[in-house]
Amino acid sequence: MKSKNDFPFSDEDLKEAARLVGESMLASLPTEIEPPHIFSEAFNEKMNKLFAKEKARSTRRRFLRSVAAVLVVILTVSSIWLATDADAWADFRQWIRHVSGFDDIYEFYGPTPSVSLPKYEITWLPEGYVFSFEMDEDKDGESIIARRIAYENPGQDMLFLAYNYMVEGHTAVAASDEQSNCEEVTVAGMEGVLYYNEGHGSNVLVWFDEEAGIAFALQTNLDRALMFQIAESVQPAA
Amino acid sequence: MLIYLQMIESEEDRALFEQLYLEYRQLMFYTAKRILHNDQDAEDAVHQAFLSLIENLNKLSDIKCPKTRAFCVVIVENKAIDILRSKKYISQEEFQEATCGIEIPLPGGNGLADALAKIPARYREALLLHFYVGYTTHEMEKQLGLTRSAVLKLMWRAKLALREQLEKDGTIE
Repeated sequence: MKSKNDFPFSDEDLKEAARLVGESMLASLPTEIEPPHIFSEAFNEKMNKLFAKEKARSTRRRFLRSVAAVLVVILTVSSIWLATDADAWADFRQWIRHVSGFDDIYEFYGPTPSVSLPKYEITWLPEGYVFSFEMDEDKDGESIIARRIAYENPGQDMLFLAYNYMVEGHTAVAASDEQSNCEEVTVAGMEGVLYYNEGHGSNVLVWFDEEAGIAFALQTNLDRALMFQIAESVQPAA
Repeated sequence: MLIYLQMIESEEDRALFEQLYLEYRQLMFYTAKRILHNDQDAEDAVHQAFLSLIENLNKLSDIKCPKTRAFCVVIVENKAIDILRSKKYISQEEFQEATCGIEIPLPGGNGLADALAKIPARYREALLLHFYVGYTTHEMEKQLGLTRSAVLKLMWRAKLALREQLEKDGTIE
Protein backbone atom coordinates (compact mmCIF):
# COMPACT_ATOMS: atom_id res chain seq x y z
CA MET A 1 0.00 0.00 0.00
CA LYS A 2 1.26 3.44 -0.93
CA SER A 3 2.25 5.62 2.01
CA LYS A 4 1.59 9.34 2.05
CA ASN A 5 5.33 9.86 2.20
CA ASP A 6 6.16 7.40 -0.52
CA PHE A 7 7.22 9.48 -3.48
CA PRO A 8 8.28 7.88 -6.74
CA PHE A 9 11.14 10.32 -7.20
CA SER A 10 14.34 11.09 -5.38
CA ASP A 11 15.80 14.48 -4.52
CA GLU A 12 18.25 13.98 -7.38
CA ASP A 13 15.31 13.43 -9.76
CA LEU A 14 13.72 16.61 -8.44
CA LYS A 15 16.91 18.59 -8.94
CA GLU A 16 17.09 17.55 -12.57
CA ALA A 17 13.38 18.23 -13.12
CA ALA A 18 13.65 21.61 -11.43
CA ARG A 19 16.62 22.51 -13.62
CA LEU A 20 14.64 21.65 -16.76
CA VAL A 21 11.59 23.60 -15.59
CA GLY A 22 13.73 26.55 -14.55
CA GLU A 23 15.37 26.67 -17.94
CA SER A 24 12.06 26.30 -19.72
CA MET A 25 10.60 29.11 -17.65
CA LEU A 26 13.50 31.43 -18.44
CA ALA A 27 13.42 30.57 -22.13
CA SER A 28 9.74 31.54 -22.23
CA LEU A 29 10.42 35.01 -20.88
CA PRO A 30 11.66 37.88 -23.04
CA THR A 31 15.28 38.95 -22.62
CA GLU A 32 14.35 42.57 -23.28
CA ILE A 33 11.06 44.12 -22.25
CA GLU A 34 9.89 46.44 -25.01
CA PRO A 35 8.69 49.04 -24.41
CA PRO A 36 10.10 49.19 -20.89
CA HIS A 37 7.67 50.03 -18.15
CA ILE A 38 8.02 53.52 -16.69
CA PHE A 39 7.78 53.01 -12.97
CA SER A 40 5.60 55.37 -11.01
CA GLU A 41 6.94 57.99 -8.63
CA ALA A 42 5.36 56.18 -5.71
CA PHE A 43 7.23 53.03 -6.65
CA ASN A 44 10.55 54.85 -7.04
CA GLU A 45 10.04 56.45 -3.66
CA LYS A 46 9.42 53.08 -2.02
CA MET A 47 12.48 51.63 -3.70
CA ASN A 48 14.61 54.54 -2.52
CA LYS A 49 13.58 53.72 1.03
CA LEU A 50 14.49 50.13 0.40
CA PHE A 51 17.89 51.13 -0.93
CA ALA A 52 18.45 53.14 2.21
CA LYS A 53 17.56 50.08 4.27
CA GLU A 54 19.95 47.91 2.31
CA LYS A 55 22.65 50.49 2.74
CA ALA A 56 22.35 50.15 6.50
CA ARG A 57 22.07 46.38 6.34
CA SER A 58 25.15 46.03 4.20
CA THR A 59 26.98 47.92 6.87
CA ARG A 60 25.67 45.61 9.55
CA ARG A 61 26.81 42.57 7.61
CA ARG A 62 30.20 44.11 7.13
CA PHE A 63 30.38 44.87 10.80
CA LEU A 64 29.60 41.30 11.81
CA ARG A 65 32.28 40.02 9.48
CA SER A 66 34.77 42.42 10.90
CA VAL A 67 34.19 41.64 14.57
CA ALA A 68 36.64 38.78 14.45
CA ALA A 69 39.27 41.16 13.21
CA VAL A 70 38.51 43.47 16.13
CA LEU A 71 36.35 45.95 14.36
CA VAL A 72 38.32 46.62 11.26
CA VAL A 73 36.65 49.59 9.73
CA ILE A 74 36.40 50.13 6.05
CA LEU A 75 35.81 53.50 4.63
CA THR A 76 35.35 54.30 1.03
CA VAL A 77 34.26 57.39 -0.75
CA SER A 78 30.74 57.12 -1.94
CA SER A 79 28.43 59.42 -3.74
CA ILE A 80 25.13 60.23 -2.15
CA TRP A 81 22.98 58.19 -4.42
CA LEU A 82 19.87 57.99 -2.36
CA ALA A 83 17.51 60.84 -2.07
CA THR A 84 17.40 62.39 1.36
CA ASP A 85 14.18 61.78 3.16
CA ALA A 86 11.84 63.72 5.36
CA ASP A 87 13.19 62.13 8.50
CA ALA A 88 16.28 64.21 8.30
CA TRP A 89 16.63 66.51 11.23
CA ALA A 90 19.32 69.08 11.70
CA ASP A 91 20.00 72.35 10.11
CA PHE A 92 22.64 72.33 7.50
CA ARG A 93 25.96 71.56 9.07
CA GLN A 94 28.71 69.08 8.45
CA TRP A 95 26.51 66.14 9.26
CA ILE A 96 22.92 65.09 8.94
CA ARG A 97 21.13 62.21 10.58
CA HIS A 98 18.49 60.04 8.94
CA VAL A 99 16.41 57.59 10.87
CA SER A 100 15.85 54.35 9.02
CA GLY A 101 14.08 51.74 11.11
CA PHE A 102 16.32 51.12 14.09
CA ASP A 103 19.33 52.40 12.17
CA ASP A 104 20.57 55.94 12.13
CA ILE A 105 22.48 56.94 9.05
CA TYR A 106 24.81 59.89 9.29
CA GLU A 107 25.85 61.64 6.14
CA PHE A 108 28.69 64.10 6.18
CA TYR A 109 29.05 67.32 4.27
CA GLY A 110 32.33 68.76 5.51
CA PRO A 111 35.10 70.04 3.29
CA THR A 112 37.85 67.78 2.03
CA PRO A 113 40.67 68.07 4.55
CA SER A 114 43.94 69.59 3.49
CA VAL A 115 45.88 67.87 6.24
CA SER A 116 45.88 64.39 7.71
CA LEU A 117 43.60 63.68 10.61
CA PRO A 118 45.19 64.91 13.83
CA LYS A 119 45.80 62.40 16.58
CA TYR A 120 43.47 62.31 19.55
CA GLU A 121 43.75 60.31 22.71
CA ILE A 122 41.67 59.43 25.73
CA THR A 123 43.27 61.10 28.70
CA TRP A 124 41.12 59.37 31.32
CA LEU A 125 40.47 55.66 31.26
CA PRO A 126 38.69 53.44 33.77
CA GLU A 127 41.00 51.38 35.94
CA GLY A 128 42.63 48.49 34.15
CA TYR A 129 42.19 49.75 30.61
CA VAL A 130 45.33 50.29 28.58
CA PHE A 131 46.06 51.16 24.98
CA SER A 132 45.84 48.10 22.73
CA PHE A 133 46.23 49.16 19.13
CA GLU A 134 45.54 51.92 16.68
CA MET A 135 44.54 51.80 13.06
CA ASP A 136 44.49 54.46 10.42
CA GLU A 137 41.47 53.15 8.76
CA ASP A 138 41.59 54.61 5.36
CA LYS A 139 43.09 57.23 3.22
CA ASP A 140 41.46 59.68 0.93
CA GLY A 141 44.20 60.44 -1.52
CA GLU A 142 47.21 61.09 0.65
CA SER A 143 45.43 62.19 3.79
CA ILE A 144 44.36 59.92 6.61
CA ILE A 145 40.74 60.72 7.29
CA ALA A 146 39.69 58.11 9.85
CA ARG A 147 41.31 56.41 12.80
CA ARG A 148 40.31 53.86 15.40
CA ILE A 149 42.02 53.29 18.72
CA ALA A 150 41.36 50.26 20.88
CA TYR A 151 41.87 49.92 24.61
CA GLU A 152 41.57 46.74 26.60
CA ASN A 153 41.44 45.68 30.24
CA PRO A 154 42.78 42.45 31.76
CA GLY A 155 39.32 40.92 31.40
CA GLN A 156 39.65 41.51 27.64
CA ASP A 157 36.82 44.04 27.60
CA MET A 158 37.43 46.35 24.68
CA LEU A 159 36.79 50.02 24.36
CA PHE A 160 37.06 51.81 21.04
CA LEU A 161 37.46 55.40 20.09
CA ALA A 162 36.86 56.06 16.39
CA TYR A 163 37.02 59.42 14.74
CA ASN A 164 36.94 60.70 11.23
CA TYR A 165 36.79 63.83 9.19
CA MET A 166 33.23 64.63 8.23
CA VAL A 167 34.14 64.61 4.56
CA GLU A 168 31.34 65.13 2.07
CA GLY A 169 30.30 61.85 0.48
CA HIS A 170 31.13 59.71 3.50
CA THR A 171 28.53 58.09 5.68
CA ALA A 172 28.36 56.26 8.98
CA VAL A 173 25.70 54.08 10.51
CA ALA A 174 24.62 53.54 14.06
CA ALA A 175 22.51 50.42 14.09
CA SER A 176 20.62 49.15 17.06
CA ASP A 177 17.49 47.26 17.94
CA GLU A 178 14.26 48.00 19.70
CA GLN A 179 15.86 47.48 23.10
CA SER A 180 18.36 50.27 22.55
CA ASN A 181 17.72 53.76 23.79
CA CYS A 182 18.72 56.71 21.72
CA GLU A 183 19.21 60.08 23.33
CA GLU A 184 20.46 63.45 22.13
CA VAL A 185 23.30 64.60 24.35
CA THR A 186 26.18 67.02 24.52
CA VAL A 187 29.79 66.09 25.05
CA ALA A 188 32.00 68.94 26.20
CA GLY A 189 29.47 71.31 24.67
CA MET A 190 29.31 69.47 21.36
CA GLU A 191 26.16 67.87 19.95
CA GLY A 192 25.97 64.13 20.08
CA VAL A 193 23.78 61.06 20.34
CA LEU A 194 23.98 58.25 22.87
CA TYR A 195 22.87 54.75 21.88
CA TYR A 196 22.50 52.92 25.13
CA ASN A 197 21.48 49.42 26.16
CA GLU A 198 20.69 49.01 29.83
CA GLY A 199 23.42 46.61 30.76
CA HIS A 200 23.11 44.54 27.60
CA GLY A 201 25.91 44.72 25.12
CA SER A 202 27.62 47.53 23.44
CA ASN A 203 26.85 51.22 23.83
CA VAL A 204 27.88 53.95 21.47
CA LEU A 205 28.32 57.64 22.09
CA VAL A 206 28.80 59.80 19.02
CA TRP A 207 29.58 63.49 19.00
CA PHE A 208 30.52 66.05 16.44
CA ASP A 209 33.28 68.61 16.68
CA GLU A 210 32.12 71.13 14.07
CA GLU A 211 35.14 73.34 14.55
CA ALA A 212 37.62 70.58 13.83
CA GLY A 213 35.27 68.95 11.30
CA ILE A 214 35.57 65.63 13.08
CA ALA A 215 33.00 63.05 14.18
CA PHE A 216 33.85 60.91 17.20
CA ALA A 217 32.42 57.61 18.34
CA LEU A 218 33.09 55.85 21.59
CA GLN A 219 32.02 52.22 21.74
CA THR A 220 32.09 50.25 24.97
CA ASN A 221 30.11 48.12 27.38
CA LEU A 222 30.71 50.56 30.22
CA ASP A 223 27.89 52.52 31.81
CA ARG A 224 26.82 55.93 30.61
CA ALA A 225 28.52 57.95 33.34
CA LEU A 226 31.86 56.37 32.56
CA MET A 227 31.27 56.83 28.86
CA PHE A 228 30.81 60.57 29.28
CA GLN A 229 33.82 60.78 31.53
CA ILE A 230 35.93 59.05 28.89
CA ALA A 231 34.47 61.06 26.00
CA GLU A 232 35.05 64.36 27.73
CA SER A 233 38.66 63.42 28.30
CA VAL A 234 39.38 63.05 24.59
CA GLN A 235 42.06 65.56 23.64
CA PRO A 236 44.45 66.17 20.77
CA ALA A 237 47.47 63.98 21.43
CA ALA A 238 50.38 65.74 23.03
CA MET B 1 21.62 43.01 21.00
CA LEU B 2 23.64 44.88 18.48
CA ILE B 3 24.65 48.43 18.42
CA TYR B 4 27.57 49.96 16.71
CA LEU B 5 28.85 52.81 14.73
CA GLN B 6 30.94 52.15 11.75
CA MET B 7 32.04 53.96 8.70
CA ILE B 8 30.52 52.69 5.55
CA GLU B 9 30.21 51.67 2.91
CA SER B 10 31.22 48.92 0.65
CA GLU B 11 30.69 49.74 -2.98
CA GLU B 12 30.29 46.07 -3.83
CA ASP B 13 27.59 45.45 -1.23
CA ARG B 14 25.54 48.35 -2.41
CA ALA B 15 26.28 47.64 -6.03
CA LEU B 16 24.89 44.12 -5.76
CA PHE B 17 21.42 45.24 -4.82
CA GLU B 18 21.52 48.09 -7.30
CA GLN B 19 22.58 45.75 -10.09
CA LEU B 20 19.89 43.28 -9.19
CA TYR B 21 17.31 46.01 -9.31
CA LEU B 22 18.49 47.48 -12.59
CA GLU B 23 18.88 44.09 -14.23
CA TYR B 24 15.57 42.55 -13.27
CA ARG B 25 13.00 45.17 -12.42
CA GLN B 26 11.53 45.17 -15.94
CA LEU B 27 11.40 41.40 -16.16
CA MET B 28 9.88 41.21 -12.71
CA PHE B 29 7.27 43.79 -13.59
CA TYR B 30 6.48 41.92 -16.79
CA THR B 31 6.08 38.67 -14.84
CA ALA B 32 3.90 40.25 -12.17
CA LYS B 33 1.70 41.96 -14.72
CA ARG B 34 1.05 38.67 -16.50
CA ILE B 35 -0.56 37.51 -13.29
CA LEU B 36 -2.14 40.70 -11.99
CA HIS B 37 -3.03 42.56 -15.22
CA ASN B 38 -2.65 45.88 -13.48
CA ASP B 39 0.33 48.26 -13.38
CA GLN B 40 -0.05 49.37 -9.79
CA ASP B 41 -0.49 45.86 -8.41
CA ALA B 42 2.43 44.67 -10.52
CA GLU B 43 4.63 47.44 -9.11
CA ASP B 44 3.55 46.43 -5.61
CA ALA B 45 4.56 42.86 -6.36
CA VAL B 46 7.98 44.01 -7.60
CA HIS B 47 8.47 46.07 -4.49
CA GLN B 48 7.42 43.18 -2.26
CA ALA B 49 9.78 40.91 -4.15
CA PHE B 50 12.73 43.23 -3.56
CA LEU B 51 11.80 43.40 0.11
CA SER B 52 12.21 39.63 0.18
CA LEU B 53 15.30 39.56 -2.01
CA ILE B 54 17.08 41.86 0.37
CA GLU B 55 16.85 39.13 3.03
CA ASN B 56 19.11 36.75 1.17
CA LEU B 57 21.22 39.08 -0.86
CA ASN B 58 24.39 37.44 0.36
CA LYS B 59 23.33 34.26 -1.46
CA LEU B 60 23.57 36.03 -4.77
CA SER B 61 26.97 36.47 -6.24
CA ASP B 62 26.48 36.38 -9.98
CA ILE B 63 23.71 38.78 -10.88
CA LYS B 64 23.40 37.67 -14.48
CA CYS B 65 23.41 33.90 -14.00
CA PRO B 66 20.25 31.95 -14.94
CA LYS B 67 19.62 30.89 -11.35
CA THR B 68 19.50 34.49 -10.17
CA ARG B 69 17.16 35.34 -13.03
CA ALA B 70 14.95 32.37 -12.18
CA PHE B 71 15.04 33.31 -8.53
CA CYS B 72 13.79 36.84 -9.25
CA VAL B 73 11.00 35.49 -11.44
CA VAL B 74 9.93 32.92 -8.85
CA ILE B 75 9.92 35.45 -6.04
CA VAL B 76 7.95 38.07 -7.93
CA GLU B 77 5.49 35.42 -9.08
CA ASN B 78 5.06 34.41 -5.45
CA LYS B 79 4.42 38.02 -4.41
CA ALA B 80 2.04 38.61 -7.28
CA ILE B 81 0.06 35.56 -6.23
CA ASP B 82 -0.03 36.89 -2.65
CA ILE B 83 -1.54 40.12 -3.93
CA LEU B 84 -4.04 38.24 -6.05
CA ARG B 85 -5.00 36.13 -3.06
CA SER B 86 -5.44 39.17 -0.84
CA LYS B 87 -7.83 40.65 -3.38
CA LYS B 88 -9.82 37.48 -3.74
CA TYR B 89 -10.19 36.94 0.00
CA ILE B 90 -9.66 33.23 0.02
CA SER B 91 -7.55 31.10 2.29
CA GLN B 92 -3.91 30.31 1.76
CA GLU B 93 -4.65 26.60 1.44
CA GLU B 94 -7.39 27.06 -1.12
CA PHE B 95 -5.16 29.33 -3.06
CA GLN B 96 -2.23 26.96 -3.01
CA GLU B 97 -4.30 24.53 -4.99
CA ALA B 98 -5.06 27.08 -7.67
CA THR B 99 -2.85 27.34 -10.72
CA CYS B 100 -2.52 31.05 -11.13
CA GLY B 101 1.13 31.76 -11.84
CA ILE B 102 2.86 32.23 -15.12
CA GLU B 103 2.50 29.51 -17.70
CA ILE B 104 5.63 27.49 -18.21
CA PRO B 105 6.15 25.53 -21.43
CA LEU B 106 6.58 21.82 -20.76
CA PRO B 107 10.24 20.95 -21.00
CA GLY B 108 9.36 17.61 -22.67
CA GLY B 109 11.26 14.35 -22.47
CA ASN B 110 11.12 14.18 -18.70
CA GLY B 111 7.82 13.21 -17.13
CA LEU B 112 8.74 14.58 -13.74
CA ALA B 113 9.77 17.93 -15.20
CA ASP B 114 6.57 18.14 -17.23
CA ALA B 115 4.55 17.39 -14.12
CA LEU B 116 6.46 20.03 -12.19
CA ALA B 117 5.63 22.61 -14.83
CA LYS B 118 1.94 21.81 -14.46
CA ILE B 119 1.40 21.80 -10.71
CA PRO B 120 0.00 24.88 -8.94
CA ALA B 121 2.45 27.79 -8.98
CA ARG B 122 2.83 27.88 -5.20
CA TYR B 123 4.11 24.31 -5.17
CA ARG B 124 6.25 24.75 -8.25
CA GLU B 125 7.85 27.86 -6.73
CA ALA B 126 8.74 26.01 -3.55
CA LEU B 127 10.32 23.13 -5.42
CA LEU B 128 12.19 25.46 -7.81
CA LEU B 129 13.54 27.55 -4.96
CA HIS B 130 14.79 24.49 -3.14
CA PHE B 131 15.91 22.18 -5.93
CA TYR B 132 16.92 24.62 -8.66
CA VAL B 133 17.96 27.85 -6.99
CA GLY B 134 19.40 25.93 -4.04
CA TYR B 135 17.71 27.60 -1.10
CA THR B 136 17.51 25.80 2.20
CA THR B 137 14.18 25.57 3.95
CA HIS B 138 15.47 28.12 6.44
CA GLU B 139 16.22 30.59 3.66
CA MET B 140 12.83 29.89 2.14
CA GLU B 141 11.18 30.92 5.39
CA LYS B 142 12.53 34.41 4.94
CA GLN B 143 11.90 34.56 1.21
CA LEU B 144 8.34 33.37 1.40
CA GLY B 145 7.48 34.96 4.71
CA LEU B 146 6.48 31.62 6.22
CA THR B 147 7.27 29.77 9.41
CA ARG B 148 9.50 26.74 9.32
CA SER B 149 6.60 24.35 9.74
CA ALA B 150 4.68 26.14 6.99
CA VAL B 151 7.62 25.77 4.62
CA LEU B 152 7.98 22.07 5.42
CA LYS B 153 4.23 21.59 4.95
CA LEU B 154 4.39 23.45 1.65
CA MET B 155 7.25 21.24 0.43
CA TRP B 156 5.38 18.11 1.43
CA ARG B 157 2.19 19.26 -0.28
CA ALA B 158 4.22 20.17 -3.34
CA LYS B 159 5.58 16.63 -3.53
CA LEU B 160 2.07 15.22 -3.10
CA ALA B 161 0.83 17.47 -5.90
CA LEU B 162 3.70 16.31 -8.08
CA ARG B 163 2.90 12.67 -7.43
CA GLU B 164 -0.75 13.27 -8.25
CA GLN B 165 0.21 15.03 -11.46
CA LEU B 166 2.45 12.12 -12.44
CA GLU B 167 -0.49 9.78 -11.87
CA LYS B 168 -2.79 12.01 -13.87
CA ASP B 169 -0.31 12.14 -16.72
CA GLY B 170 -0.01 8.36 -16.65
CA THR B 171 3.70 8.58 -15.93
CA ILE B 172 3.19 6.43 -12.84
CA GLU B 173 0.35 4.23 -11.72
